[in-house]
Amino acid sequence: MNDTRRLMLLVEDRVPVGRSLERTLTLARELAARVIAVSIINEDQAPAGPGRDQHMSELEEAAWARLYEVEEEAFSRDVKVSLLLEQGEPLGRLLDLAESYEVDTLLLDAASRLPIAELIGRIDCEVELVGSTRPRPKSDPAQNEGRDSMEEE
Amino acid sequence: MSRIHELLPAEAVVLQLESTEKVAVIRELTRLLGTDVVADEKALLEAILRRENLESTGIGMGVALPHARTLAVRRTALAFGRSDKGVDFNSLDSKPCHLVFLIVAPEDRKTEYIMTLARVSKLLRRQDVRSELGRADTPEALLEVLRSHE
Repeated sequence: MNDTRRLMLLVEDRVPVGRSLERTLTLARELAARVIAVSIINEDQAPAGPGRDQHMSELEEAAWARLYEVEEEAFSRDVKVSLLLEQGEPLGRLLDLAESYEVDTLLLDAASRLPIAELIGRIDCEVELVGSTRPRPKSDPAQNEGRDSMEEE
Repeated sequence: MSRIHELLPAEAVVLQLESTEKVAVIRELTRLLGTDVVADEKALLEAILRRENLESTGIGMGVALPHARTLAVRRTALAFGRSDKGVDFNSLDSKPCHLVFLIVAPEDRKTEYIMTLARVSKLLRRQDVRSELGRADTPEALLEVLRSHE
């Protein structure tokens, strides 16, 4: 793996991506980092029954559209971005992806619907909650308790 | 909004790409688009390659989606090429690409462009669709595969 820093941006359904995208692209340009934009479709969101496949199809199409919106914005600023669409339990998939892509920093909006405390406790990279005063680095979250260790957006 | 098979004319389908290298494949596909689509072939190629140079559009699973939104085209359109041997698009999964969809749109058709990319990406994540596209023996059969799964 080379030394290029890797930023992972979580793009979620019904969570505005504007400020976390802005922060990610700014950081990517500062660090000459590459961005991995990821959406995870939670299969539990789709109701059981005959309409399930159609619903999943609509969720997937909407997720791709959000990812390509991110790509367009990144492209307009000459930032390298890869798009990933995954299915599964969001927290578990995100932890797996951050590890397998050797991500340095995960960025997500403070309005994320993920269990943030659990995410920070389990992930092995920095986490930046954009729009919050509570983001913390990866190591020993307990040591950082009560400390706003990263900048506020 | 148009569906994928409506944006892909049979004459823009090639079942065996002559080219084996990424830039040559993209050039081969751009030439399949007619003058009713392409206003400036050189500028279109530059726009596609600019994006390709920043980040590969090989999305894995043997699929590449080179794309561009540019003033060099008059309307949204697709071209398709298949390669048995595979083409190196520097995909995330490092696998050669056998199915290549070129997607172009005018600068002012962002929503249509985004939704076309989303629909093609969604379709091509499906193994059954990729297999059927790999087996289609005529351009018309290939379009029927797309139509039947949309």
